Amino acid sequence: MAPRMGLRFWKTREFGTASVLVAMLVACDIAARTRTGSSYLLSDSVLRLFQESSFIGIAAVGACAVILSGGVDLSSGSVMGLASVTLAVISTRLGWPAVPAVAGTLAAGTLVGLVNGLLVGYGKLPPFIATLGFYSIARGLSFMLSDRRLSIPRESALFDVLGRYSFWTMIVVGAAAAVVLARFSWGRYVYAVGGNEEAARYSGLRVAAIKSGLYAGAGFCSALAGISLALRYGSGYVDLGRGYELQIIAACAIGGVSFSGGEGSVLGALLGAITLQQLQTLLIFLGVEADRIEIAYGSAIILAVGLDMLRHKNVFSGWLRRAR
Amino acid sequence: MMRFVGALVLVVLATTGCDPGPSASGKKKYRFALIPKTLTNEVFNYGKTAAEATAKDLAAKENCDIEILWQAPTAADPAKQASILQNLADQKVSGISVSVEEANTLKGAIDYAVEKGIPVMTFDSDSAQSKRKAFFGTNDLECGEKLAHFMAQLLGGKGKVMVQSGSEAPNLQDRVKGVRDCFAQHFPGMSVIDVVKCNDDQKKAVEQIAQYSQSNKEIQGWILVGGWAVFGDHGLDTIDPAKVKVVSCDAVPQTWQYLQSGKCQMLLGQDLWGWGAQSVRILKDLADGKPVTTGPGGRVNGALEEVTKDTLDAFKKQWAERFGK
Repeated sequence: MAPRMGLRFWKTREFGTASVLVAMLVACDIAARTRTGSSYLLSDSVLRLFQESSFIGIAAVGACAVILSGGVDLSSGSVMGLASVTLAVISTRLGWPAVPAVAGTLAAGTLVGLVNGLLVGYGKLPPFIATLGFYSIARGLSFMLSDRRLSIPRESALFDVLGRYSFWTMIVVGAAAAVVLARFSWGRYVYAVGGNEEAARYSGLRVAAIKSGLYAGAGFCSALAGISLALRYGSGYVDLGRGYELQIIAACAIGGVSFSGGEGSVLGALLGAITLQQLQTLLIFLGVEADRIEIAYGSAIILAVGLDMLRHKNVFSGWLRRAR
Repeated sequence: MMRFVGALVLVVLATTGCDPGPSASGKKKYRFALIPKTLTNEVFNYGKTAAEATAKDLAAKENCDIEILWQAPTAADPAKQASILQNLADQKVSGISVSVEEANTLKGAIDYAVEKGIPVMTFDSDSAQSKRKAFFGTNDLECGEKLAHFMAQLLGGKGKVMVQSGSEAPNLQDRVKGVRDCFAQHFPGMSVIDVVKCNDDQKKAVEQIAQYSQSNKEIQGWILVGGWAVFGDHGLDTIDPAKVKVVSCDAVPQTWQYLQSGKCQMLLGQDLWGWGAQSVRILKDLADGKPVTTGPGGRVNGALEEVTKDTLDAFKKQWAERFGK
């Protein structure tokens, strides 16, 4: 039984992503020892890696669930920005205490996600179009709330915890989502909708309601990521999170979440977020010149996802068999 | 009938846009458009405050009405900025002042407006090859030189530094050039290891400083030609001021904490007030057909102020007088 389980784990996409991450960490350590004489793995850089990747990771939890259902959320970066400004406005200008301020901000993000979901689920709008609309609308709403950077003093314990321990926020949110997706019937419905929407509908699943819930969850996660990022750097502003939607989607792709839906996991998305962050660090440690890093970064993403797809299709096993 | 209505609409649109003209109160009315690079880059908001305050002052002094139109793309996008400028020219505003995101893309739009008889000037970032009438802003080569000079003095004239920039905007390229020129001409012992660009993203700027500082122990200093990394908290957490020095452009309130903590040794304050105030003054003179005094190349240089821990209190006081607390 054990070998079978081991074999099954080897076949998971999460294992592939985790292997790439470990390889990059080791490569970074070797590069650091060679270039600076000090260890990368034993320094506080690894803690910083987890901290800095957590903002994309938290949002990727919601995005992963949406992608599992066959959708996509392009508004996540804008919702992060909207959440940062909302939190700043209601906590500093309106003077709300920390708990209702955070709850209100999460509610705002969830509401944006819910409207996305209603448009996709009940309005039958393509996810790309609906969320592209809110990509602009959320940014515009942020701008209406405040066109200036607003400082958010981390005076309350809740603000301090959310800003300082965003990695643990990511773990808690990720674990909760993973349990729901794996152990609850609702989670299985998500995979069913993503695997074959028509079949799911004929099976009696309320596909529109499920999609609405998923997009609302994605809005919640994006808002939480925006809150964490704003509290980390001490301010909310309209430009926060600009372009992050692509990193969030890339994290899911690297983590093996299938864009045709029905395949992938939250664990994969989280590993993808950390791997993306580590990739950037590795390129710097390898001494890649600054103006070539973007090219190397994009190429590495394509390579990583491509190799994983080939491995998943047992292409390598086929090559090995033929070689024998 | 429809043709008549259409023609009437065109006539109304064409006539109502002509400026300067009398307002309902009988006073001469000016509509000046200011176009920053983006609506969301906060340093421009200080220019907006200055433009509105100056417009109010000038209007009271000269018994006229001055309206400020503040328009820009929400993200850095030269093509969109050019389109906004052309639209404002079509509305026949009294004058346009633009902070150029990309010189070549904006040149056509600026020339289009000038050919329509609208005075156009640039602020902060220039398009020197265009037909703009004047430029007000930082002398960016001088800005880079001042940052480099201060860093070289901190390091005793010998050391290796990183430069952080934001994008390919012409003013930022000039600042980087200023850094390199200063080292080449005055401090041969100083060298630039690399120039990194953070795409105007605060999180990325902070990460870059942490990652490069960790990966290269030869780095003795960081020259930030824009303050992306120091616009919020935790920007220089990985910097040990005993080993690595930091100087940065932009001395807005969020950045002051780094002087106080000793993580940054100098902030170079640009004349943000002048971006707005001088834009309004120069545009009004141009609209009235008055001559504008400029330096070579139509440039009017704003002051650059070196702010250190020792001069921070005086700078804060001056800031509060202009922008409020």
